[in-house]
Amino acid sequence: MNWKSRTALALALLALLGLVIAGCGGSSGGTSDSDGSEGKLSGTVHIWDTTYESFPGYTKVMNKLDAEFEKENPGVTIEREAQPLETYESLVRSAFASHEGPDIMQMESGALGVLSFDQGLEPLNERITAPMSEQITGWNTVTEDYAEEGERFGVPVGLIGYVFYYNKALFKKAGLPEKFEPKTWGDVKAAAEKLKAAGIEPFTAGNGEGYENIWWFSAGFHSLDDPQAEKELAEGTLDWTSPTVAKAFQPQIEMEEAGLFPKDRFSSSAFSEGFPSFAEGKGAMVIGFWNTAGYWGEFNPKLGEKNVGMFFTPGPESVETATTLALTIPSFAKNKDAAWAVIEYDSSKKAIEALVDEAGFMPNRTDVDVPSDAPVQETELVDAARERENVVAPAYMTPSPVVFGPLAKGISEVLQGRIPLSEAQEQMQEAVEKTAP
Amino acid sequence: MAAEIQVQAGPAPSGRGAGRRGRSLRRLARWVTPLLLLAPAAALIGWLLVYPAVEAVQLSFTSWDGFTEPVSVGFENFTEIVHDKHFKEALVHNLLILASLPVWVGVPYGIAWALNTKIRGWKFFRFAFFLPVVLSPVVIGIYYKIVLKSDGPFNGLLHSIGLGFLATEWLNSPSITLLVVIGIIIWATFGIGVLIFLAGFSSLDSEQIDAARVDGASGWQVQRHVVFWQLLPMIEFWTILILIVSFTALFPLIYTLTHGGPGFHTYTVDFDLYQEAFTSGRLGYASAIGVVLFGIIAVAAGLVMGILRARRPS
Amino acid sequence: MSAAPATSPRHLGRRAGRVVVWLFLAALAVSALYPLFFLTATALRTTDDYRSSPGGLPSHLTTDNITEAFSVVHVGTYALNSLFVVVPAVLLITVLSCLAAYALIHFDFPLRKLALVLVVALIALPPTAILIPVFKAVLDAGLLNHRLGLILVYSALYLPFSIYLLASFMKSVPTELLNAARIDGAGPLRTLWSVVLPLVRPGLLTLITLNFLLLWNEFLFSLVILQSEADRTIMVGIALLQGHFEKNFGAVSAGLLLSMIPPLLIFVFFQRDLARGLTAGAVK
Repeated sequence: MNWKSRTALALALLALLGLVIAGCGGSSGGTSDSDGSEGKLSGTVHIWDTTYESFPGYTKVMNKLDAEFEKENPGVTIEREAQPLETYESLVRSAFASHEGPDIMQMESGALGVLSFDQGLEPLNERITAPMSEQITGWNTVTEDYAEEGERFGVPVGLIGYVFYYNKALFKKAGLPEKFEPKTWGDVKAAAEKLKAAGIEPFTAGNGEGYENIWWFSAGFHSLDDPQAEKELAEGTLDWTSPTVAKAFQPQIEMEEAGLFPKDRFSSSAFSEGFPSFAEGKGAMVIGFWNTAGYWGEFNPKLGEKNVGMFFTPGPESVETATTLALTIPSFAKNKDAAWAVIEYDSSKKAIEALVDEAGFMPNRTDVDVPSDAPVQETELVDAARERENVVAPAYMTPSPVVFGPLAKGISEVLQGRIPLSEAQEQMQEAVEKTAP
Repeated sequence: MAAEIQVQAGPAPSGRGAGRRGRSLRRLARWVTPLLLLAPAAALIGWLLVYPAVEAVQLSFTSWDGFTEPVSVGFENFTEIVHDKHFKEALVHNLLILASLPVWVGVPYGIAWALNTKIRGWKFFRFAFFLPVVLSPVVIGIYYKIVLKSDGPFNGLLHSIGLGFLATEWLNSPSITLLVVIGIIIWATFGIGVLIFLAGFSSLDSEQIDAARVDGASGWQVQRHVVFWQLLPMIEFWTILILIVSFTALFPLIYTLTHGGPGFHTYTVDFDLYQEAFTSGRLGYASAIGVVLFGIIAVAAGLVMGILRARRPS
Repeated sequence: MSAAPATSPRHLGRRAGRVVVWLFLAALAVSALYPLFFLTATALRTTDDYRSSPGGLPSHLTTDNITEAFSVVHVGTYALNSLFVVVPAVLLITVLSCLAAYALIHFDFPLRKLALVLVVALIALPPTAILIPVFKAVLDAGLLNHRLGLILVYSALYLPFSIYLLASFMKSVPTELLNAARIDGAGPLRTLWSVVLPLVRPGLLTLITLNFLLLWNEFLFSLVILQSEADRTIMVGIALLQGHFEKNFGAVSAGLLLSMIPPLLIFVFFQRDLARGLTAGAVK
């Protein structure tokens, strides 16, 4: 056979194979029937989950919960699809634009997630029971205008927040107290300067993507302790060009100007370099999270639980918190009743306990506690959330076009002296105005 | 034989089937074959490209958040684009990338020429040069972020060969980073150009070349006057291709490499399109950007093709 | 060629020139190959080891990442899914673009020039701008979450470019050969098959390789059209592997390496054929 006939035969076979595969390929996706006529739940519940499969502990817990739910509700099948987090927005918007998609969309809480898409989501007030309302905390991260009462667009799962970590051994070396509780940013700066004088890198940082700008802004804004400003931020009426907002950026700017950050912070990655650097003892302080990443769970194994200290934003009595996830039902969902049952199940005491015990979550239910053998940091954080007033972390109330554009990137330019703060603020204000509904 | 000829398109046989009916039948026959050949491609393109494109144009005159129905706003989106600082900055960056076209064309052309002389190891080189093309933008982004760190391997290399004074934060410089990104883009795509030009070199008309050599032309003259012209369709194709790539396909790479930064210094128009559509949820405005982008590409492509065609000898 | 003796300055100069060129090509090749070594090294070491020297050599090797990539994130399944979409799409594109390019170049019919311009214009369409309209079109046809839907979208997206490429190559087929074929009684399809295609073979093979590559690395449309786990293609799968915070470089590298194998194989496979076409010389 010459090459032509051989190629032709190969192509024809491949084409046949391709057609066969194309024909059989593809799942039925998106079709779920709801048969509530007997009062029993049935059909398929499709879930888009951006945490599934990315985090092994969470994956195991959800598999178990899904299996148990299906056993208790034999007519229902749960199909939980993992979706990549980074470009989730394109998937979500396509679904809304065409009114076709899953029955449950897992989202981030606050402005970065549920409250950006609330126009396409089912308000859940009628379904939320009184016990749920009382026992679950963090409702203000899924409620319109971040209020405690109002239209609720999701059910929050998991407690999270920002906190500063410090290396007690390095502090000791610089002659600083082991229990560090700064009352003002000046205290933090003074400690940083003392560390620097002792030849210790005051902060480890990875600000290549600009994430640290977001977290420092959150702490800075929170430290203003200004209820009026917080209200304006929550309602979307904040003037980003105002001196109040400028003040929120001052802490980081001052630290940068005093040379207290590492030199290469703008070409280092926060998660893959900044945090591991702290875990390796290369710097004395870092701004991080309560759980999930950049937290005591990563630092304790390397530095020793006794050596990892924490301090909150200096100033306010309150703590800035948010919730890890929000479970939402899109308005176009086909199987809303069954979807709600799953959501109720996945935010129940049993579920939150499992997530706390096995997936590193923190409880956002009043009837769930951290295990007794929990590391001291975990207990301290949860206690702080329960004993002190909770304010929604400002970063979670900031619209995403501001967060990922002028906030993350513009502030890096300000810190490197390339543009004035006022220009970055104007960009933020523009971003807000352009997307105002 | 006459019957068989009648089936194909081509100059109609003269004389036979006299009368108007016969002539219009033949004219119809001229259409039929190419139309049949074009039909499947045209159907697919019409359904999944043209129709969505028309819809996108319609959307560009609306404001749409993706939840409720689109609201007609006339030309508002377009006037906003004119005043949009980020869009204009992005456009400047795209034009700068375009300005690197000569390098982007010259490098694969030169390399294909060198490989065509069957230099030692040319087959291996051709394989190696294609590797960056196989790498996904994710890989390229992660890889270069590591290599170009201020304390990374590249600066290390510069130091070791005595060029340490050149070392800088390659991906965090308002002035240089765009150039670095352009360099990386060329690195990531030149392998295709090499393939295309090699294919072109291989189908050269040896008669013409031999004739020129016999006439006493030197190697360089043969290149300029004979080979270049024969390769012109390929050059044109490659130029158009990278022009379009530069406007529509850089998004994944820039997303992972610099995310448009530092600041907005490597922000491009297709990045802006994505941001406006999916991060800001302004689908009508994003469609308008798409329309403007398409117009710019069409103009740029037209210009390039005009320049290349004008140089063709009569 | 030159009449000068072998050691003349001109000859030595040319030899030195060749060496310089070769060195430059070699340096370029190293820069092109290094990412491969980097990926392999990272895939075979633990994340801690990687962090200790990101650009250096592993201190000891482990296959854990590869196992994790396969078992936990099912990279193998994703790769197969990609094959099931890309191969049919490339075939479809090849067939349709051959027919269309042939029609546009070797026939003269009214509106031919217009059609050509339209095809080229369509290449300039930014895919992101039509993502949602295309999504809706696929949805309306009932092909959402169906491989066939993505296959058709991929084909449509790359048809204009493919037609244009083939047309560029087909333009150089001499009309005498076409006329000879017609006089011999060959119909249009036969002419295409026996006369035109062999002549544009290098271009055709280049096109197939290129399309395979571009479609293999495609992410956005796949993400949006094939939403379910079972059909997920490899690039979307890798985005999942990265998890939220790029923590496990090793597994990501392992997945990326795997994702590079089919395109590389295609290229190697076609490179041999391409080479045969090149060395066989022009068919004049």
